[in-house]
Amino acid sequence: METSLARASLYNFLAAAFGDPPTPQMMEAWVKTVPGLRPAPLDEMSQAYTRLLVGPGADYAPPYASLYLNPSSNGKPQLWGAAAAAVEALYGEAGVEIAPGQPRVPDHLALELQFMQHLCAREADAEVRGDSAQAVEWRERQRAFLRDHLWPWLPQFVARLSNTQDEARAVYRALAAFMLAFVQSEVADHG
Amino acid sequence: MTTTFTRRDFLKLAGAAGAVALGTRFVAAKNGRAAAPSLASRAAGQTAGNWIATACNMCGGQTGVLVRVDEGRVAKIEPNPDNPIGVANVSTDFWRWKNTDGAAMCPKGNAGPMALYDPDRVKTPLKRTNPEKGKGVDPGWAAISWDEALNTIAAKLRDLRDAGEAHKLVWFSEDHSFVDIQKDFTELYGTPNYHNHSNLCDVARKASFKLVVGDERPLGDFANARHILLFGWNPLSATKWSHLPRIFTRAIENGAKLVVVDPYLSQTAARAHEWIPLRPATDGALALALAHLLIKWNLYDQEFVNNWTTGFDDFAAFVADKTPEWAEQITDVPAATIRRMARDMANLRPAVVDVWSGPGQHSNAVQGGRAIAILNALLGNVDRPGGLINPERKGPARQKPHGPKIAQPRLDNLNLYPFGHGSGVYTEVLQSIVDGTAAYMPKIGMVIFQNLVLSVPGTDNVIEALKKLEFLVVVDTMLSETAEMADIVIPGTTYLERYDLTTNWVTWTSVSLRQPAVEPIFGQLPEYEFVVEVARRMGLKDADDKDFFTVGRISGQPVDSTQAWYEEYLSEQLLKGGPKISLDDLKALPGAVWIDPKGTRYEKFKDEVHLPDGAQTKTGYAIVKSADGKTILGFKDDRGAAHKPDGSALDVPADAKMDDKVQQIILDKDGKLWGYVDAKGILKGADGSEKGFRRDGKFLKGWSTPSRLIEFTSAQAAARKDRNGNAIDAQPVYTPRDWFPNADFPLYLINWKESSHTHSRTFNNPWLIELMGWNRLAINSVTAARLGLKDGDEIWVESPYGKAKALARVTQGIHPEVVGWQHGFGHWGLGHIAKGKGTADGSFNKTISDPISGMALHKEVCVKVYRV
Ligand code: SF4
Repeated sequence: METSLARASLYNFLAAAFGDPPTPQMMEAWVKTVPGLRPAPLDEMSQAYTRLLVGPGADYAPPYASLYLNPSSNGKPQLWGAAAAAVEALYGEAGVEIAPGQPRVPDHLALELQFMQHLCAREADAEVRGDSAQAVEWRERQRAFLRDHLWPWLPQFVARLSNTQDEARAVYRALAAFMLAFVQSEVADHG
Repeated sequence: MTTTFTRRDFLKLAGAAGAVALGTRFVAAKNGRAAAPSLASRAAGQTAGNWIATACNMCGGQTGVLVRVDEGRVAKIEPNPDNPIGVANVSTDFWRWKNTDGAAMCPKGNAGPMALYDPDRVKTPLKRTNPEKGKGVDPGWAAISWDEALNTIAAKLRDLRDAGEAHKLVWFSEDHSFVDIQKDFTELYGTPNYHNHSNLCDVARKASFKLVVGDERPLGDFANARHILLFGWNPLSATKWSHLPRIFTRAIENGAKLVVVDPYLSQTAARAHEWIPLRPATDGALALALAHLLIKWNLYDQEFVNNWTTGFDDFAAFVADKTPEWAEQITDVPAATIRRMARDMANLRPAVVDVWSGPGQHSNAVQGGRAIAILNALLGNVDRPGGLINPERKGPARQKPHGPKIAQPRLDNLNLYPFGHGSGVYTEVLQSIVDGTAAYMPKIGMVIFQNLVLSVPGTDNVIEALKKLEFLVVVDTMLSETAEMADIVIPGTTYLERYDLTTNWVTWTSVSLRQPAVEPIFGQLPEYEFVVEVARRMGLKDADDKDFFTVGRISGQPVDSTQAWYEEYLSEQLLKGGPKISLDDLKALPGAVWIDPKGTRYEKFKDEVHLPDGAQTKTGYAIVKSADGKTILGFKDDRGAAHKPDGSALDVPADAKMDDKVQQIILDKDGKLWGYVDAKGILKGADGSEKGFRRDGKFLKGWSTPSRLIEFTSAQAAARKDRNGNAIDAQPVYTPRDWFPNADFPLYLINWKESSHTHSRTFNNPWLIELMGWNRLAINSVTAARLGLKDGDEIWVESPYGKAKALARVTQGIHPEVVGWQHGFGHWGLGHIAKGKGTADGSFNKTISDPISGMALHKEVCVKVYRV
């Protein structure tokens, strides 16, 4: 149970990092969590977040799975490709839906990470209740989601994001590398 | 970063990661999905797709569309045959063709999903961090929360108002989308400075037609015409009206002749029987010569002219010397051609003549437009089949809120434009900010769904004006060149994510619903809810200190959700307007459109105006008016006793005006004032509004002009001065425009629109950029040879106001003295696809408007062109 809770916590941490503008509290947690990460001043971090993850612009690394997995015909970029519908269906089957008023393009990185947090939390919950069959099932969902949805585009996204230089963006590079390594270890662990 | 982690490292680090608050991105699923089904039972049950009826808004055409939504995603868009807009503009055609031909939409309508799912969209409120503003200067955007954005805006607006400077808010908006709620806001807030897009579009046409036939936007019944003459209009491929190409096709199949007058061989001119190239802005002179011939040859409709018009004799005398030879000198159209045109249009009846923004965006547009409108009267073809129809518009009814009295003048001096439009005068307000000649300097700017920098003439001026505002908010789906100047940018919605009621472009009333096909995809507030939310956070109330933006307009109860509040607001407009149904009723109608079953009615000018039952007609009475003559205070009976309109006794103020020339006073059965007949036989209501005129003992509706007749000669025009203090001629004179080619700038520069793009806003849409990806400058082959230019050459285009590179397109399809291109290109913002494609036409212009209507002059430019 400790393990699933710890993993949930890491996914939540990453969802915030890639889905919300930085705050002093978040940056404090980043320093403590990601070894070697050196934060830049907050306003530079906010701008870096906006340039890299909100866009538009030359440095924009759109954090949407379908832009990598289903580049639509003739390479014309479009949000909400097939991958988005697929993950949204999985969210529903796992008993959650995107909260009202929240950004609702389903395959945003932050949503996929938050979804993993939810699945890990449900696993922990089943373990607490001693329902090992359920725990196995939640774990199976994680395995499938990692394999079919989160992992397939993550290296490409991280490569695109990492193609930047200055200090504020170095923080996002560090976070991205940390995420990539963690998710990779997750994939390995799920076999 | 090269550190490698073991699995155990990660799990240890989770402790520190736990300091981040739990994300609120998800909630428990509704619809009984909360209990997670087991993986084995995963429903292959793809949710069945839905077709949602709504109205397109890729441009202002409002075409009815059906949007296919599969699993929450807009998959495709099809035309909606239950909505007249997209089928036909006359009801009989609509009822027939909806079942035979179905409906149509244009390329932009098809490209709607690409606008919705554009990755370059503004996704969250953004705050500027770089205080320096300028063209191409990086604003240093930082994403901020909705709360921060809304609270900042509300606080700035509250402070300005509390300081007694509410009038220093200037507001710019689109003209077909969520207009009413913005007007409500500005009126309740207390600024006179609300403007919208129309004065960049067709307000010169509006003034012309209003002066002649009493309607701002008559529409041609082209399908039933046998001769169609168009001046400077490209209906087969302009921005709007997906049903026009089929209407014109049908007319031509039925044997109609199509003649297009335009300096440029537009898509429509290319498909016409005849293309008449002419010098820009001389269309009015051509129309006068045609009128001259119709009258001289006695080919005009005498019955119609005698019965339904006024001022013909003076007009006939005025055009007596407007010979084809006179017009040839001005227009460059051969006199023999003009004679043939006149003969054709007289022989092939019904004949219709129309004009839009080609000649409409020059300094002499209004009078030229009048000359063109008048041709329809000579042909006896106004509000008749195959002619120019004054549409009926009994749509939703805006309920004006009760705002504070506003003492300060408008910055755009709209009252000095004698036939200006409620949309204001963009150029004057912006230029006066730059010059420092404004009556007062505005402080806060609100720009919703407008890219002023690329669409108002004189790009550099517009940027300077926006820089002078202390605080600028821009609401848009894209980071436009105007958003680049903002302090805060708010993400807008595409039409697929929001509501609106639309009522345009057909000749009888139909009201269609634009409704969200999907929820706003970034969780953003639609523009109307943004306005409501800002008002709420400011605590904005009406002049009676009553809540407006928090209380349901029908229920009178507090409504928490801004969406629910707005739905009630729309419902009220429907219930109190023509349809008399609720929003839910409208949603349930086929195609989500309410159609007045009466359909198109021709010859509405013959409608009889009936007096109320038991009406009493009095003679020897007088009307009592306020000192300025504008308000009716009551009436005086034949014994000298004065009464208020409700019949009770009136204390006549010393300075009141007594109108005893009125022919009759009409009281209802209870003795209350219902209306009166003025000295000229015009029937007016108790508030002085014109209702009709007396003929043969009856009251007929006529036209909405002061004489209730079509006006060849305009006494109301002659009674006014233009913005520059110059007299306006009662006749539709041809006046040379202000700016002509000279030795330094020898070529006219014009611009146009095509169905591939809307204004300056669709240029990041990959499908549309594929259709039209660059606006090369069209140059006549003779001119190009003289200048030593070849097709595809890189060239400089230069005016006294701007200079930029372009690519040459050498063609025979443009008048030799003219060069021109498609509007809307030349972005340095907007998105990665739009950026750097083509040339922006506005930068060559001066920031000025026509002095009669306030119409922005997009086409009054001269340039020189030379190789790079
Ligand atoms: S003309 Fe085209 S873009 Fe405009 S509303 Fe109709 S379909 Fe949409």
